[in-house]
Amino acid sequence: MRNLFITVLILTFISCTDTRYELVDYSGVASAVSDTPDYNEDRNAYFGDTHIHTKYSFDAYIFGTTATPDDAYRFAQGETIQHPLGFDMKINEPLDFYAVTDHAFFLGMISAWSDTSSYASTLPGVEAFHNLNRDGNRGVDSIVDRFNLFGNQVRNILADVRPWWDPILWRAVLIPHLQLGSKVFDHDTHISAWADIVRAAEEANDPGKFTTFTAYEFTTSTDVGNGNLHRNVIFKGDQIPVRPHSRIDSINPENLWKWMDGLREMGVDSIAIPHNSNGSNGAMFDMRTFKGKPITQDYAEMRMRNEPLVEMTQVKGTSDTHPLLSPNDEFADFGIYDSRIGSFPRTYSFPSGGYVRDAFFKGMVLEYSAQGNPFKFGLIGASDSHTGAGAYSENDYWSKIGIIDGTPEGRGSVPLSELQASQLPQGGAGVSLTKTDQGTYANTGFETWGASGLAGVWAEENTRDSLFSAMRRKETFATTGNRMKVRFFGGFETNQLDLDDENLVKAAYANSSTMGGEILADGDKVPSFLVWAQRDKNGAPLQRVQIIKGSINQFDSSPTEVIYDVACSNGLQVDPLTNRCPDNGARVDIETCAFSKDVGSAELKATWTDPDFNPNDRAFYYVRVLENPTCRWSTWDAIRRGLAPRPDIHDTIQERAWSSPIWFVPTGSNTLAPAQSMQSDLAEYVE
Amino acid sequence: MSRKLILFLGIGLSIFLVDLFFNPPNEEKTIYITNEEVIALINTWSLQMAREPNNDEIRSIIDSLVEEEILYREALRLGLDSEDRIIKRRLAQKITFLKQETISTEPEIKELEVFYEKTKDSYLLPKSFSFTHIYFAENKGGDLKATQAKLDLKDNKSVSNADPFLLGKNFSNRSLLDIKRDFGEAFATAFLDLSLNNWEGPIKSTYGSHLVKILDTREEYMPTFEEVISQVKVDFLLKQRDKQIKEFVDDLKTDYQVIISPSFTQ
Repeated sequence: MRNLFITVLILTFISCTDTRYELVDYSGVASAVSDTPDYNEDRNAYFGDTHIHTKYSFDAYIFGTTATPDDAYRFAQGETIQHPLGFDMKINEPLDFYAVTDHAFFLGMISAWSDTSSYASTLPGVEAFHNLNRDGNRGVDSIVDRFNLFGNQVRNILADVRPWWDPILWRAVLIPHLQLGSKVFDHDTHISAWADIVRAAEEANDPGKFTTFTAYEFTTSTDVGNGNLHRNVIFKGDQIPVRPHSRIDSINPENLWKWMDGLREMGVDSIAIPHNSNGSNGAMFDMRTFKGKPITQDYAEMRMRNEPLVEMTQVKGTSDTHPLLSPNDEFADFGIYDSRIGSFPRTYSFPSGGYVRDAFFKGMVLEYSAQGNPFKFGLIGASDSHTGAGAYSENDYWSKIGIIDGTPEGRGSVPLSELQASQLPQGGAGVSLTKTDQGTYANTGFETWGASGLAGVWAEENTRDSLFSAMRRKETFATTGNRMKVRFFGGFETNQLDLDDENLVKAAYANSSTMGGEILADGDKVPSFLVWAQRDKNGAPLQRVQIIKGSINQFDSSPTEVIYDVACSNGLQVDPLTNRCPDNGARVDIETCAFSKDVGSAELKATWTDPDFNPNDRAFYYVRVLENPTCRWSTWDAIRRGLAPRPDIHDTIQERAWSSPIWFVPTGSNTLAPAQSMQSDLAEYVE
Repeated sequence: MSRKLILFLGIGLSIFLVDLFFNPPNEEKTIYITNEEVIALINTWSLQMAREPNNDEIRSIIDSLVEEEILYREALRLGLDSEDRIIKRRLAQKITFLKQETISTEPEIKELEVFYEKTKDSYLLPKSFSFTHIYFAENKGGDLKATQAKLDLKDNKSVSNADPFLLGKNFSNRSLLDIKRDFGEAFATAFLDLSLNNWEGPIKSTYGSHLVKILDTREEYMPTFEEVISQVKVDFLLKQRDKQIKEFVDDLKTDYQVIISPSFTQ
């Protein structure tokens, strides 16, 4: 008997391979790259979204999404698709690139459980999911059931593991492919959903016009405390593994990077982009590793090799900085959602370690103590929409989850009806209510979410190679959903540039570093910068452009944060005492959402020399562009119902864009820094 | 009379015998287990358990196959399959898969050509412009400067007070849609009336005033079949898959008379 058991184990082991390392070549699906007419060696700004869920994500399907990856790519190119609640979703202007990123974890399973003609629907325990999104069950009144499925049922049935004597469980452990160990997981369903995602991306990819990436979300978290560690994995090309590495394979992000490193050795390049650090309770930019060990040079290099970018703004909040972290930044109270992601009931997420500005400081402090800098990343925005379609406009907003936040009542911008208020489960795991003169509002957290964001990428042309290379070198910027464009250069002679030179951009590329790059110290020379921002023609005019500088003291690594306004609208001058522009007088009419059209600038452009520079201090510089104030989505929702805006949330916002930083590196301080040693590694990956 | 009776009985008897010969009794109650079926099941079993079954296990595989077959037939006999949506959907799915598989993967060039002719419009390249521009920023009195600059250009004087444009100076092969995205709607609309190789304007964009010189236009262009053949092939195969299934269903529809409850036909 014992022998038999061992034989079974050995047979199990040798008869299976790890499908995460088995590649499929999809290069035949789409047509090959030809010349693209918009090639520009001075680079064009391309806008896109690298974070979109479809029906293959377990939560998207539970909350009513039936949109496929094909639908998502059609939406991004300007076609109309339907929201789970039945209304039309259409983007105001097509995007240049888009990536569907469904949760790898149980990918494709819930939609298959729901489809009662599928094999997966016959698995034990999934009956509650049968025909979940049938007609007649797609109304707001299905919300409580859906929450129950999401909160309890999923957790319970996923935890239903096969018994120890089941050979499939042994196989799951030995391959390894742990999801097989679940009673409700079906490998074929899973990999065919993944193959469909890849196929859709290949078919929609249209070099020169519209770029897609095969991608997925690695949805992991800390093992205690629900610290969000989610990241999206974006594949560069069309060689794709049979199945994605998921949190069931390992919840430690280091194992994700190891897998990506392994694939890279096989010639398959990818990057991972973390998001919602704001809801990570400080875990995303922790100064220790996942296992609580000190960060090392090797760790920093591995992280930067795999994660050159961070998604710093999206619907579930903006992670620039928190008012508690940046008390002197009067624009810091923007897009703040400080609950842990997916916590139920909602749990406070401590800000330190959760915001990118803080992380830039922490990275330099780690570097100061010779541990390498694991946080030398560039910035992008994305939506994280779970309906296949990103909601980027304040005046056309459907939040992101589907049925539960698809109505103004559901997302807390208008009062609930009496019936709704009485039906909501309150207290404990439920939802709190805010009573006002106008009525009773639900506090689900959705009321603090935003119509954000987009990724801006400076690339030569709209192709996978060109965009991916730009993301690798961090020549990217993040916006809150609008399409303002921002260029940023820095160097010792940048202030010599002639702002009126018609070849300004070419000259800037020739004599300066651009966003995502570095300035290496040269004696006592003082760095200067060129910032150039252009408004979104569909948005409001620009109010100001700022440079945010963070430095750490050479003697004790203590941080200093200063924000300089460097260009003001309407020719106004920066006050040298406060570093701020005077008020340009732009206002919003809260009753109609009309805003001042004649105040503000179509573009802002300036060079700036750091007035408080010390050549021995490490520093980072990044740009923040601010639009004039406009109505927040919640105000639009209220106006459409003939109501006043909800009193306890912001009624206006300032749309904004952030560039990736440029880092200043003092002499002799960075000889082992990851960014430099990575460049030699990178050279190999880029052939 | 009696001859007729004998003849009647004789014919009856022969019909009975013929029937007996071709349809032996209890056909409905006979279960044949073929080699292929058993081998297929053994293979599935070994795939799941990672070893060959022993004799006992093979016996139990066959037993459960027999039981399944008996229950299946009894269910059929009771008509349990007739109104079951899962079974209906599964069978419908099976037949569409079958149909999908019979579709040939390599289309003939001829077929592709015909397809291209029919769907030509989707390959049309819109009219595009290659142009250069001189930009005067809105906040620096762009309007006046642009008007002055145009006069200077007419007098063959050079323009020295222009501003750089964030996206550059020269643009090649841009469609009106592209132009609209970079400069705004009004600017793109103005393009339709501009002449070739002349400094035109000032034209207003979201950002300021521009003098524009169109260097080249490419008329709306219909790529030849050869130029887009790979794209045509992908589109063709996708269409073909859907079409054949639809045709198959439509074809069968003619054999059926469909009656829908009158309350749903309005």
